[in-house]
Amino acid sequence: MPTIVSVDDSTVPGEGSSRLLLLVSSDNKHIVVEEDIMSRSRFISKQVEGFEATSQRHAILLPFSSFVLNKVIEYCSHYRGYYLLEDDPDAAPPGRSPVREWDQEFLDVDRNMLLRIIKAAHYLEIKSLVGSCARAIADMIRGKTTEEMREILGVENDFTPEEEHSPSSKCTG
Amino acid sequence: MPPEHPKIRIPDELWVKIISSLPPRDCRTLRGTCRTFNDVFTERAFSQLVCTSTASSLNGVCQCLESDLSEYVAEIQYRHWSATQHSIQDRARTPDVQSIFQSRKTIGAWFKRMASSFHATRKLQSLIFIFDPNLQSVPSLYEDRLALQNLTIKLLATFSSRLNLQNLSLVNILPIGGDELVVPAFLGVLAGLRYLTISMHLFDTSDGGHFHQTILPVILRHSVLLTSLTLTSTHDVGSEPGISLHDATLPELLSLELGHILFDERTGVEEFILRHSGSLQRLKLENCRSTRPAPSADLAQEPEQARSWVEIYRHLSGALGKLDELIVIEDGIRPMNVNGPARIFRYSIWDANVRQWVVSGGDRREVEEDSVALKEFQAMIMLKQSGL
Repeated sequence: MPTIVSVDDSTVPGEGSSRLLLLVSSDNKHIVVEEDIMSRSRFISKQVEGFEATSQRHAILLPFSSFVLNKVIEYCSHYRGYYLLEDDPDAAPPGRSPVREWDQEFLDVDRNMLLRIIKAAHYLEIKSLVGSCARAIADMIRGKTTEEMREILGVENDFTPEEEHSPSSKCTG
Repeated sequence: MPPEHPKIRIPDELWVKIISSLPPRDCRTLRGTCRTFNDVFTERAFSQLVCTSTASSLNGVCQCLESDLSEYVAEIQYRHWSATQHSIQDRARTPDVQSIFQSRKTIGAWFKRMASSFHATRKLQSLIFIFDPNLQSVPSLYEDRLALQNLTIKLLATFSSRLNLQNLSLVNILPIGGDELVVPAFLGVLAGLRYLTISMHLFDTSDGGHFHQTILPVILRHSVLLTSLTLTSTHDVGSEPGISLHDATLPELLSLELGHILFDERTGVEEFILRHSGSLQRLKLENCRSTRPAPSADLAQEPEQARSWVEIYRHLSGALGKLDELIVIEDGIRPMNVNGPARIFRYSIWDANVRQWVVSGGDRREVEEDSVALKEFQAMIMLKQSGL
């Protein structure tokens, strides 16, 4: 299970101390967000470093919709100021951490949305969110029959009848 | 909102992540849903199995090996490999080897069941055992671990003879059980290996003498096909007790990693490296120091025994210059040695990729000589990197 470790309030950067980033979604929505919030994304962090080298600020274009992007921002905002073990393996102090129940509710969305979020999290290199989505998707299909899994994942049976009955692709429900 | 059943493609590696949180039974079902899952993900997801010594993990891996999924398995990693989860009730008893083997029945039986399925795998080439390093100082934990280690090696020798085993890693093994490594069946396994890692769990620097002087040479003599050898240890070895690399020659060795193996003249480490300079492409030395016990509280005595980087450099520079990759890591003097009885001489605090050399030990004269040798060496590396 994912682990979180909270840091003292004193080490959380104060409101307004963070610079603003402009994120542009695939449906051309412009979203302004504090850099601190998005620092969990290694992709964004690397982009920002690139800006600093050229002392220019750019918009960051992202290949997914504002609907998905807002969801990711919501996630990052929720964990702002937290060390998540998967994202900060070096920074996180050792010790037991609470299970992230919040993630379960946050990811209580339909399959398509879940796939879009995991894809966006993968693109943005947010390991903790990828992990939570992967577990959520696995939970959706756990213990289901082949037919139910097809339904949930939206895949079609493209086996030939022979293949379907061969031992190497034998289905167990 | 999204339309009905659109095809949302996500990268295969994400599917592998999803599959990895599913039990084997659900994975099999998933394989049956469509061709993509069957063809791509099964192979990716099951090429590497990770097993820990908990009942659920052992059961999962056994099920996988006994099913048709076994044909995809190329590597099995045994992590935190330990007998203790199954033996809490036995720990109060006075351990003798026989009773430990009785109490090991559970995990021993699991592993035997698993190993007896090895022959059904077509691709299994790599076995990695990472024994649980957590032994504290409880005697029964130590005995448990030793018994499991011996059992593991014994079963390995029995059941992997029919495998085309190429890679074997034994991490955190206790030196005292080393004799199990030189039984004929196990030497047969060694003969086919291309990659071998032996990482010793020692309790102090006086531990492991028998292994390093007697067993290791036998192992190396039989591992004639090795292209990659890693020898590491939790404590410095090579001075007292020694390590014997004098006779070993591995004609195809491309990569050598040593950790906490001292460059003492008695070890033959330098000669070993020089002997392989024709084939070696990669050399990694981690905390390989030169050390000697201080004869008295007066550390200024007997400086002639110290081996400086200058000396090592002269000896090795020709061979090192041919390497494609050279990594040298020095953690610095560990706190336990700063005021302790042993004096550590830092002779090789460099790294082909790190330009800066920080000195935190050794006497001044030696350090100055070392820094000159280091500069020469760095210049050579830079020349090599610039392709001249």
